[in-house]
Formats: sequence, C-alpha cells, structure tokens
Amino acid sequence: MECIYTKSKALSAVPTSFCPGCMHGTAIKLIAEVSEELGIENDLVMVAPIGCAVFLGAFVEFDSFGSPHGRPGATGTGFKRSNPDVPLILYQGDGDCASIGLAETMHAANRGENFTVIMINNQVYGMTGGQAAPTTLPGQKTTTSPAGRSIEGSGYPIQLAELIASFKAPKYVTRQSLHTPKNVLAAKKAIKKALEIQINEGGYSYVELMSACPTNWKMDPKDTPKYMEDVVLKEFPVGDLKG
Amino acid sequence: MSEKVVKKGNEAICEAAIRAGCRFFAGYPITPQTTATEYLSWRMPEAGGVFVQAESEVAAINMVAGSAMAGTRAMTATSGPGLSLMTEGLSVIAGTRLPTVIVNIQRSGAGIGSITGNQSDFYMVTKTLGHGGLTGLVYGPESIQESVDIMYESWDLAEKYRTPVIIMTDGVMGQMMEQVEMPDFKEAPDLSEQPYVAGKRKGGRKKHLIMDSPYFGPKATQADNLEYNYAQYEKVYESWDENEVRYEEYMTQDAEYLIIAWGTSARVAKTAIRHLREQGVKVGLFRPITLVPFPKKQLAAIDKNKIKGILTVEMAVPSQFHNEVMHYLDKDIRVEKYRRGGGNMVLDEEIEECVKKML
Repeated sequence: MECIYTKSKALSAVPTSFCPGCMHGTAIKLIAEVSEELGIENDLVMVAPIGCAVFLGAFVEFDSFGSPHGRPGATGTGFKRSNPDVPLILYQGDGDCASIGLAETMHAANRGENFTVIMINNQVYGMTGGQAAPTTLPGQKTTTSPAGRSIEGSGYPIQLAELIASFKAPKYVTRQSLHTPKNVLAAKKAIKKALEIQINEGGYSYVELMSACPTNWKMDPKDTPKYMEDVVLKEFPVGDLKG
Repeated sequence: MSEKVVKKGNEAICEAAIRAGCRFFAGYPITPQTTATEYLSWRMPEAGGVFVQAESEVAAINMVAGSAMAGTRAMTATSGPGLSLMTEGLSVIAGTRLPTVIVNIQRSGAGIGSITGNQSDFYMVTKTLGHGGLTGLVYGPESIQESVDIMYESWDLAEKYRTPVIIMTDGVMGQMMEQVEMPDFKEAPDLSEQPYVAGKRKGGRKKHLIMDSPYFGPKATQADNLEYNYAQYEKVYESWDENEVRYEEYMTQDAEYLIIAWGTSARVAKTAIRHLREQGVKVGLFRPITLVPFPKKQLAAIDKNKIKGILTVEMAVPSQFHNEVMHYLDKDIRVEKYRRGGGNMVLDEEIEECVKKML
C-alpha cells in the first residue's frame, strides 16, 4: 500500500509533556515536517524556551539548546553569528518573547538576525499555572487577574507581530493560527516560507502561532477552536504583516 | 611572533584574546570597560571574528553563551553594574558548563557607584556565579602583562574543565598603559564534536540536547540527576584546589612581616615593600593570583613562629578579601588591614605606615 502520511523522522519516539488540547504538539510537528521537506532535518538547530516547551529538545531529533527566560534572541544571535550556515529556529512562548525577553526579541529583529522565531501565543503563562501574560485579552480571567485583565492596570495585549513588522530589517512577519485544519496548513506554509528565506536569501523571520491552553483557560479542548475564532483572533488577526 | 608593544590594559587583554583564538565578542559600553569594546569593534572583524554591540549586558552574556554553543571561543567584558546584569547568564553558563571568558574591569561601589578602579566585586565573583552555587575559575592579575598571559591560556583552561573563566582587572589596570610582550597567534581547537556544541552534525551522530540544568543522567528522577551532576561539578572544583592554585611570594624568604593582597593592591604593596626593605624591615608579599581556587592551604601554612604580623591590603570598603583571608590564617597571627574604598587608590606610603605600626 502507498504510504501517504507518516510521523516525521525528526520527531523523537517519546510522548510529549503537553496537556490535552495544547497546540504546542502541532507546532512542533509542523516544524519537523517542514525540516524534512526542506532536507534540513539533520542540520536544523532549535533554541528551547523557558515555559511549557522547556523540554522541546527531548521531543525532536534536532540539536537544541536552552536559553534563560526571554533570552533566545540573544543566545540565538551569538550562535547564528558564529555558525552562519546552520538553520536556526527560536521556539518561544508569548511570555518569553513579548514580556521578559522583549528587549532581546526586538533588538534581534531590528538587527535582522538570520534566524526564524516561532512564537506560540496562548495568552497565558502556561507552565507556571495560568498567570496573565502580556498577550492576555482584556477582561480575560487568569490566576493573577482573577477579576479579568484590567486595561487600566495592565494595558492592552501586546501585538508583537505588528511591532516587529514596523522594523525595516525583518524579511517576513506573519501571524497564523492552529485552531482549524485549514489554519494548520497555512501555518505550515508560513513556517516553510520563513525557513526558506533564512536558508536561501538570509534574514529575520517571525511566525506567531495562535494556540490554545485549555488547562489554564479552564475550557474543554473541543470548545477552544470556536473561542479562538470568535474572540482571540479578533484581537490577534491572522495574516502576513510583512513579506 | 611575540612582540613588545606599549598598550592600554583594556586593549592589551583584548589583543591577547584575539591571539588566543577568540573569535566572538559581545559587549555593552560601560566605564571603565569601553576601550575594550571599542578596540574589539574593529580588531575582532579584522581577525575574522564577530563583534556585536549588545543591547544590554543581559543580552551580551547570552550571546557569548550562544557562540560557545556554536563551538567558538567567545568572550565579553564588563564592569560592576554590567556584571550584576550578567549574573543570570553566568549562572546558566556555569550550569551548562560552557567554556567562556569574562573580563570584569572593576569599578567602585554598589548601584551606579563610581567609575574609578576598585576591588569590590571580589565576593560577588568568588562566592557563586549567579544563583545556584556554581562557580568558575577566577583570576586576579596584578599587571597588564599578567592579564595578557592569563587571557592567552584562559580558553585552554576553560575547555579543559568546561568552565567559565573570569579575569578580574580593574579601572586602574584597564586604563593605564605599559610595555607588554604579546604572545604569538594560536589556533582554536575544533570543538564541533563537544557535547555542549550544537549544529554541524557529522556522520549521523545523535542529537545534542544542551540544557543549563543537567536533568538527564543515570538517576531515576530529575532531582536525583541534578544532585548527581552537580556533585560531579563539585569534584571538578575540588580538583582545582589541588591543580590550579596560583600565587606569588615576593621577598618572603626571610620575611618577619607579610602583606597579603591581590591585583592592583598587591602591585602597589610591592613598591611599599621595596621601600621598607631599604629601611631594613623584613617584609614580603603573599599574592593570590587565582581567587577561585583560593590558596587556602598556602595561607593556612603561614607560620606563626616566623611571621610577626600580617597586613591585608585591598581596594574595597567594607572589607571582602580581608575577611576571606582571615578564614584560613592561623588565629594566633596578628593581622591588620589597610583598605581604601570609593574608588580611591591604596598608596604605597600609607602601606608603609601601616606596616611600621606593627613593628
């Protein structure tokens, strides 16, 4: 029988540590599949973040290294400048990338570092138990905003993709989502385009992936796609912002 | 070819790094370190390496970590406030055991403090590198020549032990000029197969999973692995006490009085000792060169029957080095201290007076 689909060789034969309904697994699977399609599965290096994906390196067959919370933009810069031929993905969450690491993220983007940032935006700090993130929606209840995120006290959600797109250097900036099969396919295309830019012409690329955290949203996983479509994507619209 | 040049301390130590095979520098300007960053902004690219002016010291130290994980000899240089920002990265570097070199060109005081030379980062660097209680090799040279010589072999040591190396100069040494003999250029080794290096996989080798907390190992749980792996680190540190202690004894052969000092303070003390010797005072100097490992045994072996008094000299108020030395000295020896803070220099004539008071 013809094999039309199989698990990517770039994924390790271990279960992930993600909760049911979490979309990290989908994002990592897409990266693995794209790496094979581009023939870089033995070359790609990933920076693992602090957050739910801290053990990323255990789930993929790529070389990977950790970075202090928020610092992948800097660690990645040092690595890539010294290893310019090695394709590099910084895999980060919204707290890592848009809060504690905002300076490192923005300066790496502004310098046009030749790597790809994959940012998983689920609007909460997942690993620490669902605290408010810079991306938490107005009125969204979290363990540190039990009455709902207050605009007066915490400001508006940071739209990092839009901020990065305002810089001159980045080659490709996009926001995609993982909540429907159609969106997953579009996300995969975006990851592939970002890596192709990195490998073929060189330059900074940023792919933000809207993701669900049913555990900390306190929502049944099967309800998250509709919530994302109706509520989350109104604040974080999908689409290419640059390139 | 080695050559004699007249160079500013900051530039000399950076040139020695280039000649030692360093090909990555990331730094953030801070007085009195700026001349190091300025020098490498043109010298590093000229040597075929990478220079990045980082957005902060937080970023700079992490860039150095990233470059080390690419198999490159990488370094940064900073001063007190920048070192505070680097402690997170230093902790990670010590935990990942990345061979890297950090030059701390000390300035005085807490917070913004002052920009003049001082020795008040002694505790901060020797007690633990950031959180977690891990450490690295720490050197306290007394001259530009010695800082050049230590820098030249620092990556050899860093790679041998998989450790960060911290070289503690100060604003005095960094800014002054003197004649120095520069070593030959040497090639960095190929580190691409090291377990802490990512990318460039050859021959289908297994993936490298590089983490700052060694959760993986022979034990059943993460906690047990962390404990086990840190115990292995501790064995490395303990081996330094046997194999890496460096110190200088200056005019100690017949000495009845001893000055104990490190770095710039020790150099000033040598002038005082020469003057005192001219006046017939039998005084010598014990100078730790390695601050980690500290010459504990050597200090403990100072003979109370031979030495009538000891003066510690340092540029730090409150005292730091003095307190550390006191841990190891025989309690029956009389010990006095002379220190200047706030960025003031210790003065040879004041050292002389302090020694004379003990006679």
